[in-house]
Amino acid sequence: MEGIDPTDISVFESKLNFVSREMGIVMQRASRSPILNQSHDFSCYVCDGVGNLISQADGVPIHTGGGGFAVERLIEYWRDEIADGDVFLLNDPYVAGGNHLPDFTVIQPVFDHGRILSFVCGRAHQVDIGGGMAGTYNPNAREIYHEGIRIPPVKIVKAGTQCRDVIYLVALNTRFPEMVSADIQAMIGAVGVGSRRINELVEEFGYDMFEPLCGAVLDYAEAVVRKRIEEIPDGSYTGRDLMLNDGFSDTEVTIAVTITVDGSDLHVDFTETGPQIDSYKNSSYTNTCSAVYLAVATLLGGRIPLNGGSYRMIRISAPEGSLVNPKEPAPLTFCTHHPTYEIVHACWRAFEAAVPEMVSAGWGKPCHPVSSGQRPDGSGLFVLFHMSAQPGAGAMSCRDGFDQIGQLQSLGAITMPNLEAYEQIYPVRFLSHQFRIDSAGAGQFRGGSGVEYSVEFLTASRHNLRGEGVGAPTGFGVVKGTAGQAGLVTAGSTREASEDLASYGEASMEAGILTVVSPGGGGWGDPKDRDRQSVLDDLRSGMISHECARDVYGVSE
Amino acid sequence: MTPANTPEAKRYKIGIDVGGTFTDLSIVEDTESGPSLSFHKALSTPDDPSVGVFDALNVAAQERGISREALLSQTRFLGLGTTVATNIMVQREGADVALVATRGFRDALSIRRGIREDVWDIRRPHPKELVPRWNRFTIEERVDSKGNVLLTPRANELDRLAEEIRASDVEAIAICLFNSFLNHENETIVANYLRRAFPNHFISVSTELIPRIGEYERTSTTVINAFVGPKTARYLTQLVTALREAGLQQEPLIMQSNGGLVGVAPLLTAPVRAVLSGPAAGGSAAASWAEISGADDVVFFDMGGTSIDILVTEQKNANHKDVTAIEGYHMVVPSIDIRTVGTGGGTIARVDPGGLLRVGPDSAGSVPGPSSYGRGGILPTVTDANLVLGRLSGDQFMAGKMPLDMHLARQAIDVGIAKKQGVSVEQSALDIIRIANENMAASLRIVAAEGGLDLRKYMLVSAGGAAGMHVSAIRRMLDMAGVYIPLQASVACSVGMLLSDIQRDQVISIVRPISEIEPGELQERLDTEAGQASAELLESGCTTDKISHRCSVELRYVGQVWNISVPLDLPVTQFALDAATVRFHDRHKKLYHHDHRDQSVELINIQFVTVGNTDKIEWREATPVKDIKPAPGKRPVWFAWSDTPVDTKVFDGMTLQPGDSIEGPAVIEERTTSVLLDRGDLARVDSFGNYVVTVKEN
Repeated sequence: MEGIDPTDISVFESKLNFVSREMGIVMQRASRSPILNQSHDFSCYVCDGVGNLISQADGVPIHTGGGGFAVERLIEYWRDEIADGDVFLLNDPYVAGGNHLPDFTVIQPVFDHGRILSFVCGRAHQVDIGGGMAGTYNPNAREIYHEGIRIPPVKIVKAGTQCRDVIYLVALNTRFPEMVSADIQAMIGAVGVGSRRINELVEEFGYDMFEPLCGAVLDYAEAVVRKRIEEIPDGSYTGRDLMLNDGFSDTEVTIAVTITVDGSDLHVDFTETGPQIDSYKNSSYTNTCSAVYLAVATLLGGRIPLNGGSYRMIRISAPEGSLVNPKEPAPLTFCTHHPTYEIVHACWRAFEAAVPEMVSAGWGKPCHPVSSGQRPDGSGLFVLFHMSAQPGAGAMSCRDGFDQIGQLQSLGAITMPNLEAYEQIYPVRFLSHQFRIDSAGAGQFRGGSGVEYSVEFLTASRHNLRGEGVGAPTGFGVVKGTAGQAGLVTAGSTREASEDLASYGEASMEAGILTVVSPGGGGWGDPKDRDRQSVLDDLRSGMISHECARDVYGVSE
Repeated sequence: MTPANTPEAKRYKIGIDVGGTFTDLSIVEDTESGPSLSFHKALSTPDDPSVGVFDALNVAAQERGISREALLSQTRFLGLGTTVATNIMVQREGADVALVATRGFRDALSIRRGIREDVWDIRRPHPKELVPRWNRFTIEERVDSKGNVLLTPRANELDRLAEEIRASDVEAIAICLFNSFLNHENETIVANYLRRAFPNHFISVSTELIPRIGEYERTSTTVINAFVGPKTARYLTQLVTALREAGLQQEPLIMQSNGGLVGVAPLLTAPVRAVLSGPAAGGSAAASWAEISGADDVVFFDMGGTSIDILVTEQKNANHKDVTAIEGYHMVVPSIDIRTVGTGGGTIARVDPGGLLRVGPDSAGSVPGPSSYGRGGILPTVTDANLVLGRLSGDQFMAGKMPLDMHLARQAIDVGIAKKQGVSVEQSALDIIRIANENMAASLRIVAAEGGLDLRKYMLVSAGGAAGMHVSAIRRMLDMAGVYIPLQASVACSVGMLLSDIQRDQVISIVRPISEIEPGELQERLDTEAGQASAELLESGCTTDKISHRCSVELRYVGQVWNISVPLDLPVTQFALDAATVRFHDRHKKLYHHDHRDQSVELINIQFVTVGNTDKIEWREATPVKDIKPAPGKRPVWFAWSDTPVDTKVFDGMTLQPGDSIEGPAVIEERTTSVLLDRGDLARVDSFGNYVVTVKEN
């Protein structure tokens, strides 16, 4: 930061963050698919001219941490054929730095004085990408080809003119071409706004200052985070978390990590993690890095600068061919969920002994399927994400876990829709959406409660099962806290006649009822240390039973 | 016979705004030479805001040499802002509420759709729910997605519900059933039953307030209404009684969140409509100033000690929004779209652990206030920086009633910033101002992005005591059309009361493709709404000839979730529906740069607005007195473009008159605010005595 006015850095950083936020606003309002405009399952970010992430102030944490890789691959592929007015699209995790296929990334280079100074990017989960199953997640996939369309870095706008053919080619390979085209247009609109803003920044601060200021913003972030990491005692720490099935059988899969803290450097080593597996629960290298960054960011309380400088001191070893850096053509669509949870959890557990005040207990893992079917009025296919069947979050040393909340990979950024709105859009009738007694892990701070979510399908439906949170507790407790309860998914013509569904694979049913009893998050600290009034309130609320109050918390009325 | 000669003539119109620090009173008096507008201030009294209201009335009466009773008995209009409901929310000191929900759905309030304001702020819990789970009761009933009743509440269920509520010992009840926005039959059955069972409880019913889709927001709104209900109703009833006893013969009107006034009676059952009453009158003030500034589209920028309220007008109307939040609690109540940003005069500057200067969001408030107030504050603030730079005068702050201490300001900046960064105190002060201005500009950029505004076409209207120091810089950063600084800037909201209509907004959800809307059927539904609304306005003292209705519809492409609101002409005809659809496509194109004219458009919500026209202030143009030339003083002021202080002209605003122009750099000192002009700025005094700041033509 030598020679640069610190006030310039402060202002520049704030303006960069505004660029990503403004792109997010444009994208959210213009997108067509509910997954984007209702749930904000997208992110906008800005990289410098070589792919360093210089702002990730918008969107979903798991999207952006490794966002720079896509830019690096794009530069490698196109080199000096990148022209002013071009816009690129990509999604492939193997050749294009994507995180997984459903997230389309649209990237626009920003030119000034004939040089590329920056890349502005939007990454958004699509409603469909073709492949073996509607709704982007194909649990039967054994190769990435089964998962959907693979897109290397392609030009969708060439020097200001849209390549209609390429956009059509991509959209036609999905089940909702109209919606996907509209969302690509929304992304093009968003990066267009972003690139104008970067040009304005260059003009304001001067062409010669842009790159030094980008460097300074990254250096600043690095310095701030290094100071925080120095607070963690030096040492080597291990942590692990499990997936209970490998996607095709009840074979446990372990994510093991060794984290070495040396001064302000972190080495995150996945050498102990096993080889890649046959199912879509492998993690792309991009996703693995994003998950590690997410774990470290939450460990530091989330309050760190939102750019790649914050992660510069983190070195990640993910052996090629392992679950966290698989070789082509391993499928990996599910990675933003699993093993993202497992990677983040393993990192947190590694730090539990060293810095208990900083870690979070485990977040309950989701167990709801993706449902689809034909609309009874003959108007075509519907795909329903059960957003309101989510689990509870893990507790921290300062608060209880959030009772039912959006998923860990988004830190809850992906909000839940109103069920009344869902009833207007889908052929369903909701029967219940309420907290589940004793589902939260106990602790001085208790975990978040899961829910009992029950929905009647008024027509035949298919369910893509992803019951990661089924079968055993997943929201582990820390520092003497206990784990939240496991989840359960059942289906049948009535609630009484419902049967348990498997935790992976597919299920179909005629019109009938699907019930998800979602897991709870883990507790933090010894339950015996919980404030007595909080225990009594939970008891009176029906969040915990008398037995739990007495036996676990040691509180009787 | 002129009104002034008639003892019983009601010659005063009064607007009162209860702020955090001051209660402002604006008064229009009919005089022989026409209406005359003046202002008074009293200290606010948060424990019982009515004390401050009466203090302000006392000041106004004293200055006229009449009794308060004489003043009130001659008042024909009294418009009031109220912060009672707001304060109940801020302090979480509302009623104990029971919530009645459909069996299986009582936790929507607590789950709150998982909304977390800042996802990265991982250690912060949700705000505590307003109704604890043990007071959230359910009843077996169901309405389907088409509005058919599948299950009617049974008598024994209602009995059981009443018993549970009785045992819970609450003073208010909120009722919000699933899908009730489609058919309120079941909700009404429950409400009627509970009203009979609990005649003295405050009962809040979702479909009576806002029959709008979305169980979380509708429940939350109904609960907030019940939470603030009993106290707000008591306060308003007492205030009206006290005003009447003090001589007021007219029904006072209260400002609602939507920027319209209403009589007290409707607020006694729907106080949620006034939770954001405080700054809402700024909407009318902004619209009025937009009109006289000739700009139509303005950004109104009301900056006080701790925060800035920003709102936007388009075509002289303040923008509204449907979903608002207070302290993290959500409401779907049509409201003036006001964004509050945590930068004010008292905002604190500090060097962060990475060595960068940051300004805000925390504030020294009015207690202890900026270091220069000499009330014990030791942290450097924006006001301290303005003082150090010579932009504010230590002697002239608040017309000399509140001297500022230069030594304390310098010391705070020196210790807090300058020493740590190794620069001079003045340079630190310049840096503080630069970052504060940058933060404010960033907030405006977000407002512009969300609303699709081209700020270059907008005038920045400066309001509040602290804005004058910053507006010219912000205008320049955003390349806005100009700055408009009304003489009444520091009492904008109380003036706004005198510029507002009586207004009732109703929102109903009809989720259906617009092609399937039968115009006659919709018109019939709106006729019913019109009847109810007119009755309320008549109750608020309006007469039939002043009442008008207008309507807007929220539309979207099938599959979208964001709605765009466009006007729907009344009466509803097929032609009117088609015209609204075209407006929707146009607006979509304008906001998002693309549209899909061949695609199906669906109706979501209808907003039906009923307005009772009031008799408002008309701004009068002043005639300049010839041959008075402003005689500015001078003092050194620091600017970023000079390494040494610049000897800068300082004008006393009282000596300026229409037609005068002042070139920056300069400072203009008004009674309750000061205006900084940078080099290249040109301020002109317009015919209303207000300042218009633009870029000097070379």
